[in-house]
Amino acid sequence: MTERQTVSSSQVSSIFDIMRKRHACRQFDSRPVPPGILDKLVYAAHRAPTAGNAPYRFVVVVNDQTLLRMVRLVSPGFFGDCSAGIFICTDLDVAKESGSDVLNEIAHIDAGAAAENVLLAAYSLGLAGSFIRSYSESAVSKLLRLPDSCRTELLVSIGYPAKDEQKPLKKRKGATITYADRFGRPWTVPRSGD
Amino acid sequence: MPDPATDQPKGQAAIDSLEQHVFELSLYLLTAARGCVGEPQIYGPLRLVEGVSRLATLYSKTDKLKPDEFLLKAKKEIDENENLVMASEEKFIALMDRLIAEFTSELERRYAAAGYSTAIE
Repeated sequence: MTERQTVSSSQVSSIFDIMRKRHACRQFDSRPVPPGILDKLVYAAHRAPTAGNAPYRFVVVVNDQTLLRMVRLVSPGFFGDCSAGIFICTDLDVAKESGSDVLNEIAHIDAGAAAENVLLAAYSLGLAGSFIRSYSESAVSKLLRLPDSCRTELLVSIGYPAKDEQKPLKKRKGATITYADRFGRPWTVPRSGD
Repeated sequence: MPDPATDQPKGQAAIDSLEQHVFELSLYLLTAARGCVGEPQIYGPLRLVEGVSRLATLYSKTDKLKPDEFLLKAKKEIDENENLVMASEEKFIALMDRLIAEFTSELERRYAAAGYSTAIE
């Protein structure tokens, strides 16, 4: 029996439950995130797919509070005092060696997959966070000492949600459009057909 | 505690100083300006509104300024509602309009209190 076949129905329902609970959290309490927990989130990031199975993605865990504060200062979209951050990054040299320039673009998509894995893992562990892209690329690269051949794609804020965290936003109208086979053809399923 | 050699505060005191806050606010404005080049248009107003909130944080960094209760109330309102931009631009715009109306009334009140007439002749 393969690993894939051993996923139980309760595990499946918990995955959907975590997806339902995940939202952009911007209010955190001051508890630090233990390194062992951060390591689980790193594992989740690395378990996400990469195009062509190429090893061009890497992550930088920011758990030094002084560095995190400085990152926040150059990130206008960084709301809330999270305890840690995980940058999803791309080594452009490795991407080029691994295939073609196309991987430069696909790296954005792969970073999104890794970041979503991190957030789902975080919520499963009682943590919360959000994607942050509104930061100064040049300032962050300088603070992280990234070589010129590397690029940050996305920052995931991580922390324990504040007790008085604001209510999650509702999805905007039109955010769940689904078509069946052809554009414009509504996707419908029989109510009893689950 | 100031460093005896430089007479400058060190450690947490330096990071929490008014001077450092002004520097950090400047950096926020600079990186926000750079972000406005490529980010969604509505993020520009969001950054400016956030800037108002951050300005009001100055009061917590010094005892040289008398806390402005009006600005602190506005900061609270901004902090609690600026995320509206992610759900509804209309509601975020309404928030800005409401704040502007409140600020304008406050402006008139302050001028009147200072002895300037704002009555239309």
